[in-house]
Amino acid sequence: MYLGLGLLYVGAVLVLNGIWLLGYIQDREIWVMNFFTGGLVVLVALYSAFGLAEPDQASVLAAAQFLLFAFTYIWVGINRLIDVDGRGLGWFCLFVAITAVPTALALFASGGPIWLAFNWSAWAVLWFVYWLLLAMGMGQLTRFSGWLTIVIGIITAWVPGYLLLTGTLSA
Amino acid sequence: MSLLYVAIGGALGASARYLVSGWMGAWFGPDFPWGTFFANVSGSFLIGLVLVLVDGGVLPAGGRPFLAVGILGGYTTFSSFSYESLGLLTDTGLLLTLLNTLGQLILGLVFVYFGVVVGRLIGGA
Repeated sequence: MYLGLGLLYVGAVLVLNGIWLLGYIQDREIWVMNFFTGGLVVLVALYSAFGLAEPDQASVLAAAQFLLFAFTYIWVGINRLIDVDGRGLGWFCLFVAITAVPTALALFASGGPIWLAFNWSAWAVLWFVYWLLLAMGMGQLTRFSGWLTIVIGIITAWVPGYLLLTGTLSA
Repeated sequence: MSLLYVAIGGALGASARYLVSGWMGAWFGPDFPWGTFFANVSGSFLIGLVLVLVDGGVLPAGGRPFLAVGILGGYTTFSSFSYESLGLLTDTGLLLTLLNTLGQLILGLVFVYFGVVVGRLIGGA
């Protein structure tokens, strides 16, 4: 249930960030959604790590995975307020992309939710693109990263998040 | 008859890729093989969708040779992908080559799965 809550708003922030990368949302406005979603996912992660009666390895791992994305969005928001070039965020994105690979492989190997394994695979590619864009300065990828962010946001977060919340999909 | 379906579909698919490649290059710029990237990933989605619908009887059995083998076989391309990846490796270095190869491979799997899911929602097998 909380996965659906987080994913729905991750979908929102990814779609909006994609539109922002395409130049249709101002820097001064995009931080709002990034702080909101980042904060929301932090709360979901904290509940997963500390809110359960008996947190176990799986719940703490889920919290750590939530925080990978929560911190990305908070960092995007902060960078819009302090006007930096984002190279530090870019290197953090590489960390996320690399971490996403074994996470996806583990889900495939364990037969865990297959849709979630594909989600992690897509996020590995998307965060790798962010690394190329921000840390390696490949500005030619800006338009592509905008469209990719929108599409990945819809199919890996917005739609499954909504389906999880309505009970149509299970984790 | 199936061979005719494949031949007509292949001509349509290859023509579609030629047009899409031109549009993608004009839209995203000349620094990366966007056309092949888009064709292979979108083709992955479509083949997942089409084959599930054929297997489920939503589309007629002739859809397999015409749509999947013909159109989507002509639309997607492994040879251009390989040649363009070699070009990226020699001209721009490893990073964009990794994006092209791993990106197409992983996103192709993600989108074929997405196509299968959408096909099942529509009523496919």
